[in-house]
Amino acid sequence: MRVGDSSHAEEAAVQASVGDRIIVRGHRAGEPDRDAEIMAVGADGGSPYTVRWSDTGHEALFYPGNDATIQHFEHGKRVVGR
Amino acid sequence: MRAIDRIRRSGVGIGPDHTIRQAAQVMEQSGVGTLAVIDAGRLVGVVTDRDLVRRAVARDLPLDVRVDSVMTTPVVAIDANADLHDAFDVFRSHPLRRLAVVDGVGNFVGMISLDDLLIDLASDLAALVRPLSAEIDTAQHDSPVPAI
Repeated sequence: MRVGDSSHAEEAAVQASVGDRIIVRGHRAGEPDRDAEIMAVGADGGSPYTVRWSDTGHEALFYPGNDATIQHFEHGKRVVGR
Repeated sequence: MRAIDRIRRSGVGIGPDHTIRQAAQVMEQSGVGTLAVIDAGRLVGVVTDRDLVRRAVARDLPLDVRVDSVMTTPVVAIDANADLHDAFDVFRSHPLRRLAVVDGVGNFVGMISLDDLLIDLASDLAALVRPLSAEIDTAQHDSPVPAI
């Protein structure tokens, strides 16, 4: 069952790349933030993202909401240390 | 306001061939109690922590059975661009705590939680009551009758 069908889908505003990190804010007092690495992205960098949770490495599909932020990394850039 | 505008939490999904053990682990790691079951991008079911308890643990199912054997299907869902009042109607007529949101071609977008809707409504009500409270609490100083 689906209510209020529409023919035009909304484009996901969030864009991400493989290797970026997703931080999901805790919803209750004392609940820790969670983070996962993006392993694969949907079309045009949109969701769903295939993510790997940092705790145990399990993978899941992720559809970011208002509680999620994406940390972008400069891919391919090598940091030269001493 | 559209249904999609009230999605406050990120949605999490797994494939139908995942095991119920993996489903429970993903719930634990992601902090959600409801997973969308996604097959080739399409929402084919939902599985909740309650489903795992009642349909798997209580029936002594092994932890390696597929999640699609305990999921709820078909899924009650609402279009992302539907009016929020349509979501209220669905909650009124179905015993649901979370309502799946899909786009125009049936792809999963996220979940609307009844809890979140109630919190939003309470917040909206508080915002509406505030000017009324100020009007009641603040003495009204009418202009004096002009002297003739």
